[in-house]
Amino acid sequence: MKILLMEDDEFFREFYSSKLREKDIEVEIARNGEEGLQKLKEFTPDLVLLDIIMPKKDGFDVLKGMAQLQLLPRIPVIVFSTLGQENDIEKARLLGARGYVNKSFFDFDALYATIIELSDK
Amino acid sequence: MPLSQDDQAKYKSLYLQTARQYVTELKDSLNQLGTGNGNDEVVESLHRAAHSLGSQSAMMSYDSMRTISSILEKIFKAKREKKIDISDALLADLVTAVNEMEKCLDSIDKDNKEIDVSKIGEILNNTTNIPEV
Repeated sequence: MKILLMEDDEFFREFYSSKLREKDIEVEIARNGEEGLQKLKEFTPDLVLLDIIMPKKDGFDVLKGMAQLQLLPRIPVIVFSTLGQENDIEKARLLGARGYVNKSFFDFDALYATIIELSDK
Repeated sequence: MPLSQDDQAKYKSLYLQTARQYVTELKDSLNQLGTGNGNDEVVESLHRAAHSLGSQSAMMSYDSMRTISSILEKIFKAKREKKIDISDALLADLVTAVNEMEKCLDSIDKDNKEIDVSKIGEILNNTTNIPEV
Protein backbone atom coordinates (compact mmCIF):
# COMPACT_ATOMS: atom_id res chain seq x y z
CA MET A 1 0.00 0.00 0.00
CA LYS A 2 1.21 3.51 -0.81
CA ILE A 3 0.06 6.63 1.05
CA LEU A 4 0.66 10.24 0.13
CA LEU A 5 1.11 12.28 3.32
CA MET A 6 0.56 16.01 2.80
CA GLU A 7 1.77 17.80 5.92
CA ASP A 8 3.77 20.99 6.33
CA ASP A 9 4.81 20.30 9.92
CA GLU A 10 8.10 18.41 10.08
CA PHE A 11 7.31 16.92 13.49
CA PHE A 12 4.07 15.30 12.30
CA ARG A 13 5.60 14.30 8.95
CA GLU A 14 8.42 12.42 10.65
CA PHE A 15 6.21 10.91 13.32
CA TYR A 16 3.43 9.60 11.10
CA SER A 17 5.63 8.51 8.21
CA SER A 18 7.78 6.53 10.66
CA LYS A 19 4.75 4.86 12.27
CA LEU A 20 3.23 3.99 8.88
CA ARG A 21 6.51 2.57 7.55
CA GLU A 22 6.70 0.35 10.64
CA LYS A 23 3.51 -1.23 9.23
CA ASP A 24 5.24 -1.77 5.85
CA ILE A 25 3.23 1.03 4.27
CA GLU A 26 5.05 2.98 1.58
CA VAL A 27 4.85 6.70 2.34
CA GLU A 28 5.41 9.55 -0.08
CA ILE A 29 5.73 13.03 1.43
CA ALA A 30 4.45 16.42 0.27
CA ARG A 31 5.35 19.50 2.32
CA ASN A 32 2.45 21.64 1.13
CA GLY A 33 -0.68 21.39 -0.95
CA GLU A 34 0.95 22.57 -4.15
CA GLU A 35 3.62 19.87 -3.93
CA GLY A 36 0.93 17.33 -3.06
CA LEU A 37 -1.17 18.10 -6.14
CA GLN A 38 1.95 17.88 -8.30
CA LYS A 39 2.75 14.44 -6.87
CA LEU A 40 -0.80 13.29 -7.58
CA LYS A 41 -0.14 13.98 -11.26
CA GLU A 42 2.94 11.74 -11.11
CA PHE A 43 1.57 8.70 -9.29
CA THR A 44 -1.63 7.30 -7.80
CA PRO A 45 -1.51 6.55 -4.08
CA ASP A 46 -3.96 4.19 -2.40
CA LEU A 47 -4.90 6.92 0.04
CA VAL A 48 -4.09 10.54 0.94
CA LEU A 49 -3.52 11.79 4.48
CA LEU A 50 -4.21 15.51 4.26
CA ASP A 51 -3.42 18.34 6.65
CA ILE A 52 -5.78 21.32 6.38
CA ILE A 53 -3.68 24.31 7.40
CA MET A 54 -0.71 24.37 5.02
CA PRO A 55 1.18 27.04 3.05
CA LYS A 56 0.78 27.65 -0.69
CA LYS A 57 -2.32 25.48 -1.14
CA ASP A 58 -4.25 24.38 1.96
CA GLY A 59 -6.21 21.16 2.40
CA PHE A 60 -9.37 22.64 0.91
CA ASP A 61 -7.48 23.73 -2.22
CA VAL A 62 -6.09 20.20 -2.51
CA LEU A 63 -9.56 18.65 -2.29
CA LYS A 64 -10.83 21.06 -4.96
CA GLY A 65 -7.80 20.27 -7.12
CA MET A 66 -8.32 16.53 -6.70
CA ALA A 67 -11.96 16.95 -7.74
CA GLN A 68 -10.88 18.85 -10.87
CA LEU A 69 -8.44 16.07 -11.69
CA GLN A 70 -11.26 13.55 -11.10
CA LEU A 71 -9.18 11.78 -8.47
CA LEU A 72 -11.59 11.91 -5.53
CA PRO A 73 -13.77 8.99 -6.48
CA ARG A 74 -10.68 6.77 -6.79
CA ILE A 75 -8.36 8.01 -4.03
CA PRO A 76 -9.81 8.24 -0.51
CA VAL A 77 -8.72 11.23 1.58
CA ILE A 78 -8.39 11.27 5.36
CA VAL A 79 -8.10 14.74 6.85
CA PHE A 80 -5.66 15.45 9.66
CA SER A 81 -7.42 17.72 12.11
CA THR A 82 -6.96 19.05 15.64
CA LEU A 83 -9.37 20.07 18.35
CA GLY A 84 -11.47 23.09 17.42
CA GLN A 85 -11.47 22.37 13.70
CA GLU A 86 -14.98 20.94 13.55
CA ASN A 87 -16.10 23.47 10.94
CA ASP A 88 -13.03 22.71 8.85
CA ILE A 89 -13.74 18.97 9.05
CA GLU A 90 -17.29 19.50 7.85
CA LYS A 91 -16.08 21.73 5.01
CA ALA A 92 -13.52 19.08 4.02
CA ARG A 93 -16.18 16.38 4.12
CA LEU A 94 -18.41 18.42 1.80
CA LEU A 95 -15.43 18.77 -0.55
CA GLY A 96 -15.00 14.99 -0.68
CA ALA A 97 -12.88 13.89 2.29
CA ARG A 98 -13.96 10.44 3.49
CA GLY A 99 -12.64 10.49 7.04
CA TYR A 100 -10.71 12.45 9.59
CA VAL A 101 -8.32 11.81 12.47
CA ASN A 102 -7.20 14.08 15.27
CA LYS A 103 -3.48 14.13 14.59
CA SER A 104 -2.64 15.39 18.11
CA PHE A 105 -4.56 12.55 19.75
CA PHE A 106 -2.39 9.65 18.78
CA ASP A 107 -4.32 6.44 18.27
CA PHE A 108 -2.44 4.58 15.60
CA ASP A 109 -4.64 1.47 15.75
CA ALA A 110 -7.70 3.60 14.96
CA LEU A 111 -5.86 5.41 12.16
CA TYR A 112 -4.59 2.14 10.71
CA ALA A 113 -8.08 0.61 10.83
CA THR A 114 -9.50 3.65 9.02
CA ILE A 115 -6.75 3.47 6.39
CA ILE A 116 -7.41 -0.22 5.74
CA GLU A 117 -11.17 0.29 5.63
CA LEU A 118 -11.04 3.19 3.18
CA SER A 119 -8.31 1.83 0.94
CA ASP A 120 -10.19 -1.48 0.54
CA LYS A 121 -13.32 0.20 -0.86
CA MET B 1 -4.18 9.14 23.90
CA PRO B 2 -0.78 10.21 25.23
CA LEU B 3 2.34 9.02 23.51
CA SER B 4 4.20 6.14 25.06
CA GLN B 5 7.22 7.05 27.17
CA ASP B 6 9.42 5.57 24.47
CA ASP B 7 7.88 7.79 21.81
CA GLN B 8 8.04 10.82 24.12
CA ALA B 9 11.76 10.30 24.54
CA LYS B 10 12.31 9.45 20.88
CA TYR B 11 10.54 12.56 19.54
CA LYS B 12 11.47 15.13 22.22
CA SER B 13 14.50 16.34 20.32
CA LEU B 14 12.55 16.77 17.07
CA TYR B 15 9.76 18.52 19.00
CA LEU B 16 12.20 21.02 20.51
CA GLN B 17 13.88 21.63 17.16
CA THR B 18 10.63 22.31 15.28
CA ALA B 19 9.02 24.18 18.19
CA ARG B 20 11.98 26.56 18.33
CA GLN B 21 11.67 27.14 14.59
CA TYR B 22 8.03 28.12 15.11
CA VAL B 23 8.97 30.45 17.99
CA THR B 24 11.53 32.14 15.73
CA GLU B 25 8.90 32.42 13.01
CA LEU B 26 6.44 33.95 15.49
CA LYS B 27 9.05 36.46 16.68
CA ASP B 28 10.01 37.48 13.15
CA SER B 29 6.42 37.86 12.04
CA LEU B 30 5.42 39.83 15.16
CA ASN B 31 8.39 42.08 14.49
CA GLN B 32 7.06 42.67 10.98
CA LEU B 33 3.64 43.53 12.44
CA GLY B 34 5.34 45.97 14.81
CA THR B 35 7.14 47.75 12.00
CA GLY B 36 3.95 48.14 10.00
CA ASN B 37 4.77 45.41 7.49
CA GLY B 38 2.10 43.00 8.64
CA ASN B 39 0.33 42.04 5.45
CA ASP B 40 -2.10 39.12 5.10
CA GLU B 41 0.76 36.72 4.38
CA VAL B 42 2.45 37.60 7.68
CA VAL B 43 -0.78 37.05 9.60
CA GLU B 44 -1.32 33.71 7.83
CA SER B 45 2.20 32.70 8.79
CA LEU B 46 1.53 33.63 12.44
CA HIS B 47 -1.69 31.63 12.42
CA ARG B 48 -0.04 28.56 10.88
CA ALA B 49 2.91 28.69 13.28
CA ALA B 50 0.70 28.98 16.37
CA HIS B 51 -1.57 26.19 15.09
CA SER B 52 1.31 23.83 14.36
CA LEU B 53 3.05 24.57 17.65
CA GLY B 54 -0.17 23.90 19.56
CA SER B 55 -0.83 20.65 17.68
CA GLN B 56 2.60 19.16 18.26
CA SER B 57 2.61 20.34 21.89
CA ALA B 58 -0.71 18.56 22.40
CA MET B 59 0.77 15.42 20.86
CA MET B 60 3.70 15.57 23.28
CA SER B 61 1.39 16.38 26.26
CA TYR B 62 3.08 19.73 26.92
CA ASP B 63 -0.05 21.41 28.22
CA SER B 64 1.31 24.90 28.96
CA MET B 65 2.71 25.15 25.44
CA ARG B 66 -0.51 23.77 23.97
CA THR B 67 -2.68 26.24 25.90
CA ILE B 68 -0.69 29.37 25.11
CA SER B 69 -0.33 28.32 21.45
CA SER B 70 -4.08 27.83 21.26
CA ILE B 71 -4.67 31.36 22.64
CA LEU B 72 -2.27 32.81 20.06
CA GLU B 73 -3.90 30.75 17.31
CA LYS B 74 -7.37 32.13 18.05
CA ILE B 75 -6.03 35.71 18.13
CA PHE B 76 -4.27 35.31 14.77
CA LYS B 77 -7.30 33.55 13.30
CA ALA B 78 -9.51 36.46 14.39
CA LYS B 79 -7.01 38.89 12.87
CA ARG B 80 -6.90 36.85 9.66
CA GLU B 81 -10.71 37.01 9.49
CA LYS B 82 -10.56 40.80 10.12
CA LYS B 83 -12.50 40.44 13.38
CA ILE B 84 -9.91 42.22 15.54
CA ASP B 85 -7.13 44.75 15.23
CA ILE B 86 -3.80 44.18 16.93
CA SER B 87 -3.05 47.28 18.98
CA ASP B 88 0.42 48.21 20.20
CA ALA B 89 -0.53 46.98 23.69
CA LEU B 90 -1.77 43.62 22.36
CA LEU B 91 1.34 43.29 20.21
CA ALA B 92 3.51 43.81 23.31
CA ASP B 93 1.56 41.09 25.16
CA LEU B 94 1.96 38.74 22.19
CA VAL B 95 5.72 39.32 22.19
CA THR B 96 5.78 38.61 25.94
CA ALA B 97 3.85 35.38 25.35
CA VAL B 98 6.30 34.20 22.70
CA ASN B 99 9.23 35.01 24.98
CA GLU B 100 7.57 32.92 27.70
CA MET B 101 7.13 30.08 25.23
CA GLU B 102 10.83 30.23 24.47
CA LYS B 103 11.64 29.97 28.20
CA CYS B 104 9.21 27.06 28.47
CA LEU B 105 11.00 25.20 25.67
CA ASP B 106 14.35 25.83 27.38
CA SER B 107 12.92 24.37 30.58
CA ILE B 108 11.60 21.30 28.74
CA ASP B 109 15.02 20.87 27.19
CA LYS B 110 16.97 21.35 30.41
CA ASP B 111 14.71 20.01 33.16
CA ASN B 112 12.13 18.02 31.18
CA LYS B 113 9.29 20.11 32.61
CA GLU B 114 7.29 23.16 31.56
CA ILE B 115 7.14 26.52 33.30
CA ASP B 116 3.84 28.18 34.19
CA VAL B 117 2.82 30.55 31.39
CA SER B 118 -0.81 30.91 32.48
CA LYS B 119 -0.45 34.57 33.58
CA ILE B 120 0.28 35.92 30.09
CA GLY B 121 -2.40 33.57 28.75
CA GLU B 122 -4.95 35.13 31.07
CA ILE B 123 -3.87 38.63 30.06
CA LEU B 124 -4.28 37.78 26.37
CA ASN B 125 -7.65 36.13 26.98
CA ASN B 126 -8.92 39.11 28.98
CA THR B 127 -7.59 41.63 26.46
CA THR B 128 -9.01 39.99 23.36
CA ASN B 129 -12.10 38.21 24.77
CA ILE B 130 -12.28 35.84 21.80
CA PRO B 131 -14.21 32.56 22.20
CA GLU B 132 -12.14 29.36 22.31
CA VAL B 133 -10.94 27.98 18.96
